[in-house]
Amino acid sequence: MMRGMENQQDMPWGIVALSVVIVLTATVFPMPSWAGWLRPEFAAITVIYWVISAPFRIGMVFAWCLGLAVDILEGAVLCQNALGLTVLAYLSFLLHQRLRMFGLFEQASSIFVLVGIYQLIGYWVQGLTGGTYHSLAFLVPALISAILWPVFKLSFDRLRL
Amino acid sequence: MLGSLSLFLIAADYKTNLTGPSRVALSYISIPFYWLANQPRNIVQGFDAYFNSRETLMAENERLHSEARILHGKLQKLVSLTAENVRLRELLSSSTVLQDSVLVAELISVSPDPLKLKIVIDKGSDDGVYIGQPIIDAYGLVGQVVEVNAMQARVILISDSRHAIPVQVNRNGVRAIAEGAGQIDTLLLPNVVATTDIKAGDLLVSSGLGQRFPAGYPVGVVESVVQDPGKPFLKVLARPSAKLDRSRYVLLVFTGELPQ
Repeated sequence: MMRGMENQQDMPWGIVALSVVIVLTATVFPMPSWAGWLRPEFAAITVIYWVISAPFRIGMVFAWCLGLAVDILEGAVLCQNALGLTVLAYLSFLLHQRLRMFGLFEQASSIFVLVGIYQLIGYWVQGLTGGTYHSLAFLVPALISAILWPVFKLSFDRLRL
Repeated sequence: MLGSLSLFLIAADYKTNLTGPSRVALSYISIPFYWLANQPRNIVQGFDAYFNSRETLMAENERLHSEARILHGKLQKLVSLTAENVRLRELLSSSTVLQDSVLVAELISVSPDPLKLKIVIDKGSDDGVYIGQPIIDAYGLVGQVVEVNAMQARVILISDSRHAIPVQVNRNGVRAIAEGAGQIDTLLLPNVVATTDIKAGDLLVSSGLGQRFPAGYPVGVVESVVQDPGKPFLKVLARPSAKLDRSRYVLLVFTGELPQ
């Protein structure tokens, strides 16, 4: 858990860039239509991971840019995801000291709440811009993200070594 | 600060088209990601094609030949019918039906957000694609272009909840609007008066009103008509004719003039 502090000196920017490429590709990776809701929110997980591990290097500007890229890839209203990810980065920054102390599974449950908030902002923006949806299904990706969080966390940690 | 910038951009993007040009410019960064995301499938397909047995290929060839023969037969009849139609229309001195030309495009991405029914195709403004252009597949209308750059275009499907298309019942010409229901296989027909002659199994074709879609392409088949005595309108559900979640190839329709 302390690795994040050590890396304040030499930030692995190459790995950050690599993770962004992987995440954006995974965001548009073709999935069968029945599995539409089962895609984890890769961008949200990446933002949380990097904010927790390098809170003073990576923050809301990174999240905003990543969100804009996701908006363009998804063809969403500009800033739908950018707004959500910025708020998400802010919340994870507030919580980063606590989140670092948590074990993997406690972290996962916080991830569910954080990604849920991110999803909520996304659907709020969609609702403002003319979508009409009445279903709680949008929380499913948050649940999937929480379940897969340990896998992401450990593989990202491995990537950085 | 970033939050208010985001809110401002959301408003600007939704209410005005100030962001249009920058959207087009920004959309180029998406090209490599779509390409990358499609690589695993391309490789698998490449292997499949390489290891296909001779028998399979011959059988497929035979099947395609017979299909082509049947279609050619039907086409002969169509030519004479078209000519006859034009003559009759001339007799009635009404406007002539323009011949539509098409361009084949391949689907390269489906919207990752399950609430947005949009696809990305591999033809852009270099091929003459324009915003609002109708898209069909072999079975019916698919949707229309909403965003285009030089190499790719984004298409909204007719069943997206933000899309509506004017239709006509093929049997008797009753007009209606078919709205998307947000599910890939459902269309809603709102505001159909309870006395309207419409029943399950009716084919809906595009009516050409609204000047966006050419007339006469199949849009959907009425699946259920429910009359609630307390309500002034019928609840009509239809299923799109086009295979919205199956087709890999779609056709871009150029109405009237040719792309070049």
